[in-house]
Amino acid sequence: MTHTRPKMQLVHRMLLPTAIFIFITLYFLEVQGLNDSRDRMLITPIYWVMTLMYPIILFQEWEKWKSVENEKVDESKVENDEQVEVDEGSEVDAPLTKKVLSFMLSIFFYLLLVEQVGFVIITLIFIPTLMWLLGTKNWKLLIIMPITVTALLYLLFVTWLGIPLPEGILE
Amino acid sequence: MIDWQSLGQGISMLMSLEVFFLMLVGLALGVVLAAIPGFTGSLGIAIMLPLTFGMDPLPSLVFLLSIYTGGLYGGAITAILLNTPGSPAAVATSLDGYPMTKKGYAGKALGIAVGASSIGGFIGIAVLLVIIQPLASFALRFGPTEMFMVAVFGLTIIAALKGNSFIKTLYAGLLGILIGTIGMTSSGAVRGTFGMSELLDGIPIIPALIGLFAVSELFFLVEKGYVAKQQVKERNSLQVIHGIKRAIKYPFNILRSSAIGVFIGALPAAGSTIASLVSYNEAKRASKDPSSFGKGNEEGIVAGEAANNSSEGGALATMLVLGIPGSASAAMLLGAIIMQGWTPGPRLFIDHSDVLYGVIFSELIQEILLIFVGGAIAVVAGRIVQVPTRVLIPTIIVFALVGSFAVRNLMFDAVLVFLFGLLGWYLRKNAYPTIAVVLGLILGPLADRELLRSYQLYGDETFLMFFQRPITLILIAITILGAVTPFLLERKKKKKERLE
Repeated sequence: MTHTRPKMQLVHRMLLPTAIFIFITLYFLEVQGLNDSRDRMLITPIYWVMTLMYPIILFQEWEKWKSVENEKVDESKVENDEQVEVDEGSEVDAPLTKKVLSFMLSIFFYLLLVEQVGFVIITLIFIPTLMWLLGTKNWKLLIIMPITVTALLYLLFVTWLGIPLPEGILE
Repeated sequence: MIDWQSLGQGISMLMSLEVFFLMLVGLALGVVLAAIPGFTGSLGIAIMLPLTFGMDPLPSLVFLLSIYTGGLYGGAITAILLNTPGSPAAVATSLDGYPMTKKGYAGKALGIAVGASSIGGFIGIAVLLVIIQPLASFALRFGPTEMFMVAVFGLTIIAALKGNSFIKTLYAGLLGILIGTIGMTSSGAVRGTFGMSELLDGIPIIPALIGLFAVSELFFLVEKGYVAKQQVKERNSLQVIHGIKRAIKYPFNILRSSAIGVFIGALPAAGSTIASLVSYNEAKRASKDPSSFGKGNEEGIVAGEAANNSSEGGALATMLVLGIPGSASAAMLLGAIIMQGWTPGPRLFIDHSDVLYGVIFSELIQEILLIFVGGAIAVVAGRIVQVPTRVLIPTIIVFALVGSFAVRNLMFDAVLVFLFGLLGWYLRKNAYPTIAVVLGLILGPLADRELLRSYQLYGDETFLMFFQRPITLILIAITILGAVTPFLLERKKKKKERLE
């Protein structure tokens, strides 16, 4: 686990409220183009309230960052903290580890390929790959689980409920 | 208030093995279907609706209502075990249910949920039986200004949530409201879709819920070996039984939550989700230890589940007497009534009072049966937390993505699940409570719609009308009280701590 540089931590703290503010501003500007003012009756006051809140949040984050920076942290304590297991920490401290990142990427690729390749094939590949990435080394489990889950989902959705799932190359 | 002769005839019509069997099957189906993220009890009713076409009205309605009853509880199973509300109405349950699972009390939480669901549901139906007509007439007096205030009142929950920073919670809640207003308005204007036709109906609530709660949780679970940090404290079946008993220990909470549930359930378009959220908030406000809510407080589960299930009584009141569905499931049941050749409206109860009294009475039996059916399913489901996350996560994520895809048969919804998952994860990492976004998402569209309706009805006098209608005025007072009370209580608490 590597510690982010102090200034980068400040950027991280301010990133989310800023991204939200950009999104709501774009939304606000879009609804300004509507002819009927009634369609933005609720949106307009909420936008202005959030606009007022934005600098306050930034200020709060800056103050928190400053107070953390001012604390004299004992070097040995830092080392000990680094050895603490991730699941002992709070959600705020949870780092973006390789495992988390590969999980996110695997979902991205699953969604990207499911329509082209088809639900059955991509799920049969996705589940064991993800299981392996997350630490499953038992080969029996790596074979049985994907087949069971895929068959169960197929039976439930396609056979029982009549909901078609992407067939992809099997079409 | 009760037509005893019709009730007697209705009960005698129920006395058959076929009806009893249909109740059991319907309950089990409802519980299992609603427990699958992306599915709801209303979807279960929709799937089974064609099967009832050949049935007589009574068994048909009893069967569909059993699915409804089971579905109202079923959403709590995944909400408690995996922080994934099976239905939007189980959002409040996940707030304390999931922390209990993490502490090793999954079975107990499930037991409390089934106990509170059953008792709350029983109270709701008993109330329905007694005051079906007066309640429905009162709810009909709710115009758009009142409904707008109901939504605003629901949003005061955000004030009670607080979390680490009140301003962050409010910021997240307001973001939720804005996201909730995306889509086509009732006047035909298109807002915030950025050219995506899939968003014309607004942000679909199921993918948003699955993403914000379940997927974001999975991102945090990746680094953990098991869902529960601690070992399961005792055998799951014992925990479930113990939990059912614990639910009875909160009679005032159950009564209060059931009353809220019946009342809100009777309001058109309000439904079980708002009922459970409002009653959760009230339970927190009334609690001696409000800070323990959200950390595994049993009362939170009791409040959410009792209100959620009792809302069925209220929803059925407006549906049967006035023909106005209070929820999606009620709308589906109305479809079943129309399918039988009956006309919904005030005459329905006069023309078919015996059958409808029989159907309502069967609901009382269903609520008792729910303890056994729901309890048995909870015992089996509770074992899920003992499965390692390296096996659980790939299974859940596929279920979540495919389940969301199946609701509208759109891959776009599965993508939304992922995007809301990322948003939820990043919000939580920055100490913004995701529940505030969800509240805004659920209540925002209601507030927006009713405000627009108020304006269409009263024009420039809309603002004045809020202060001229007595029910609206009462709701305004309750809302102010609801928003201010948490601060006053917090101040009082801090003052007390200082003095100590």
